[in-house]
Amino acid sequence: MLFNSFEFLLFFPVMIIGFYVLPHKNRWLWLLLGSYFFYMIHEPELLILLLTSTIVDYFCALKMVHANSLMRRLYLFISIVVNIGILFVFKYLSFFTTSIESLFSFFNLSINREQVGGYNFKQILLPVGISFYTFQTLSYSIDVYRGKILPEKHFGVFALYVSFFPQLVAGPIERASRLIPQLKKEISIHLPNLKKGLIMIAWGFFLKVVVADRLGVYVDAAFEDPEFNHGIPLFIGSFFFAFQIYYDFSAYTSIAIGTAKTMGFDLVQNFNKPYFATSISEFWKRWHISLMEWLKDYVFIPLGGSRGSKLKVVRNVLILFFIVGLWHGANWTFVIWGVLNAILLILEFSTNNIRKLIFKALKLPKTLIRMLGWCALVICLSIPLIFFRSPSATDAILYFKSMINITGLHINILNNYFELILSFVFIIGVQTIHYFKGNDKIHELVTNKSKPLRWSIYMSYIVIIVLFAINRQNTFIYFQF
Amino acid sequence: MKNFIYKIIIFCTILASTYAFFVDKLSKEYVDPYYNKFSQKASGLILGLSRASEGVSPSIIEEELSSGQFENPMVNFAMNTVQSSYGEIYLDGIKQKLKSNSKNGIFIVAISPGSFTAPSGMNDENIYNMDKEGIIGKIDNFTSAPNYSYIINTYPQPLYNALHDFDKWEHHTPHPNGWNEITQNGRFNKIRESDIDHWKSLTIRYYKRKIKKEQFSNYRLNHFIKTIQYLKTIGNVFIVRLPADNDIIKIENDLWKGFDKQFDSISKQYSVEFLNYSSLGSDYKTYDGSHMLSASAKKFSKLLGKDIKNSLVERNEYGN
Repeated sequence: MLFNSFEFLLFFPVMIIGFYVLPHKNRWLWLLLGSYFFYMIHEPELLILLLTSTIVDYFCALKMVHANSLMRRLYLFISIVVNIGILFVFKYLSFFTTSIESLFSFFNLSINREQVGGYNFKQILLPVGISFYTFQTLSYSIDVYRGKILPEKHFGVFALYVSFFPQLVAGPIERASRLIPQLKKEISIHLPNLKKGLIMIAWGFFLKVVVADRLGVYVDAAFEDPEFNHGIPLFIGSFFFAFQIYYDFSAYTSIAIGTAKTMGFDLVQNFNKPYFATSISEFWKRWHISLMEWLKDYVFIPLGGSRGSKLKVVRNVLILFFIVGLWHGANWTFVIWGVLNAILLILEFSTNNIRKLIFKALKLPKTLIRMLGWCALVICLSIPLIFFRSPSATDAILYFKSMINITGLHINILNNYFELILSFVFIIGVQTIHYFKGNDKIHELVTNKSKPLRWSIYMSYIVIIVLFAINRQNTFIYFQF
Repeated sequence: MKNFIYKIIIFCTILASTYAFFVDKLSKEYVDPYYNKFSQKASGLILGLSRASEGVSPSIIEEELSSGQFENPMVNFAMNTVQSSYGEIYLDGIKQKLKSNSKNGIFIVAISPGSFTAPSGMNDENIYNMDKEGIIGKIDNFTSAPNYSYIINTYPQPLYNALHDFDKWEHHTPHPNGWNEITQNGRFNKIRESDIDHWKSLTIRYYKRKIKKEQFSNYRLNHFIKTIQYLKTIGNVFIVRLPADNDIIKIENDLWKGFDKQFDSISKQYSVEFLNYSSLGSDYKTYDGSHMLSASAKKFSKLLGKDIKNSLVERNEYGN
C-alpha cells in the first residue's frame, strides 16, 4: 500500500483507532494483522517470503541461546543463508545471470538457455521492501549471536518487529534492541505524540507531492532524452535529481516516523540535514543513517573499519560502497554509483591536509568555507547520481557527454518558466526549514505557536497542497529497493 | 481529546472543500487536450493516435454523412501512443465510451506503425500493466461533463491552472467533440515555416529514438483485430491511414516493410474498408511533419467523409 493513496487514507485512521481502543495485550495482533494487510494488499503471495524470513530467524535465534559455539554459528549461518538467499534469488539472480551472459559473450562464448533450464530470470518479480526487512531481521540474528540481545520469545511480537507497517517497505531499518521493547510497552493515548505524528505526516506529504514530484517532472524530461536536452538543462536535471531523491526518501521517512509516533512509537531518524554536510564523509553520516549504521556495524567494522594500513582502509571503503550500491539495485549503474562515492571519499581523505593548507593560506571566512563546502558537496554528489538515475551505464555516459555539450542558453525543457522557478523556490524553502529545524523538529514550526498563527499555517498548508501538488500518483523512489 | 478530534475534522473538511472547489473550477476551464474526449457518450468514434486526434474532425464527418441514417454523436477518441495504442485497455475504454444501445455508428480506426509497438522485450502482461497506468486505465467515468474522475485520477498538473490556463498552447483549440484543432495563427504568435522545419526535425529524431527502444507487438495487433471485430457488431468500420509529411511516411514504411499490404489483407480478412491516404502528404500541411494544421485537417476530414459515403453507397448501405 502506498502512503500517498486513498487506501492509506482509510487504513491509517482505522489502525490508530483500533490500536487505542483495544487493550494492550491484543494490540500486537492488531498491528501485525494490519501490517500484513498493508504489505499484501496488492500482491498477497509476497507474504510467503516475509513469513519465511520471520519463522527462520525466530527459531534460529531461540536455538542460539542454549547452543554451543559451533551450533550457534550453524544457526547464524542458516539465518544468513536463508535471508541472503531469498534476497539473491528475488533481487539479484536476473542481474547475475545477465552479467554472466554478457561476460561470456565478451569472450565470444554463448550460453544455451535450454541448458540452464531455459528460464528467463527477468520474469521474477522484485518483492517490495525486501532489502529493508531482510537487513532488519538479519541484524536481529547477528545481535542475538553476538549476545547483544536476548531472543524474543513471543512469536507475534517478533513477527511484528519484522513487519511493522510504517517502516516495512522503505525503512528506517530498525534494530531489535530499539523497537521490540517499544512494541511490548503499554502505551496510552498522548496528545502531543498524536500532534507531532500528524505534523510529520503532513510535512512528508508536502515534501512528496509538492516538492519531490515537481522536481521529478524536470528530471524525467532531462533523463528521457539526454541527447536532445544537451547542456545546461542536464546540469539542472542532475542537480534536481539530487534533491528529488532526498525529498522523496525523506518524505517517506517523515510519514513513517509520523505514523509510528501517532501510536507512541519512536523510529530512528534516517536523515540529519545531509546537504548541509561540508564533506563527503560527513554526508554519509547524515544520509540514510539506518542503512549506513547497519553496514558500519555488520560489514565495515568486522572488515577492520578505518584501522590498519591505508591500503586496507581503501579496500574496506570500496567494499562498503560496493555493497551500498548493490543494495540499492541489481544493476551496474548502482554499483558504479557506489564505487564513485567510495572514490570521492578516498580522495577526500587523501587531500585533507592539502585542503586545510589551502584554506589557511587563502584566509577565507569560516562561513564562506562552509557555504563553498555545501555547493561543492551537492555538485560532487549529483555527478555519481547520474548513474543512479540512468537506466544503463551507456545512458549515463551519454548523459555526461551531452551535459558538457553546452550550446546556447536554453534551460527550460518543459517550456514552463513558472514551474522551473517554483522548483528552485521550493528547494530553497525546504532547505531553509531543514537548516533551522533539522529533519526531526519540523513539528516546532507549528507547536507552541499562538492559535491564530497556528491556524494561518494550517490554512497556508491547505492552499499550497491543493494548488501546488503534482498529481503523478508516483510511488516513492526507495520502494523499488 | 474531543477538542483535538473536532480540530482534525475541521481541518479535513476545509482541505476537502478547497480541493473540491478547485477541481470543480478547473472542470469549467481548459483542463488538457484529452479531457473533452471523456465528457459525452458516443455512437461513432475516431480512434488512433495523435495524428487522428488532430487530423479528423467528427463534426465534418457527421456533416458529410448527414442522411440521419447513422447514429450520432461521433467523438474523436484518439489520443497518443501512451494513451491509445491498441490493446485491452483501449478496447475496454471504447466499450465504456459508447452508448449501450448504439447499433449503427461510424468508426474510423486510424493506423500507423506507432499504434502497434511496445518497449523491446516487454511481455503481454507488462504491456497491459503499462497501458493501465494511462488515462483510460485510471479513470472509471468516460462520459460525464464535468468529469471529476478524470481530473482527480489523471490530471498531472498542479491545480493552480484552475486560476489561469498556464498550460494551454495558444495554437490549440480543444473541441467538445474531442477534436484537437491546431491553428497556425495563435493569439500572440504565428507558427513560422522555420518552426515547422525545426519541429519536423524533432519528430524525425523522436522516431529514431523510438525505433531503438521499441518493437512490433503481436499483443497490439491482436487487440486491434479484436477492436474492429467488436466495432463491426455495432456499426461500419473503416481502417484509415492518415497523410503525413512524405519523409515521415518513408521512415514508417522503412521501419515496417509492407505495412500497407498487411493491413490491406487484414481489412479484406475482416471485411472492412481500408482507406489509405499515406501517399497524399504533399496535399496537406502539418506543423511537425506528422500532425495536420487546422485547414488541412478540415480538408482531409471532408475528403474522408466523402470517401466513407462513397464506400457505403457502393455497398448499398447508404441512404437505403
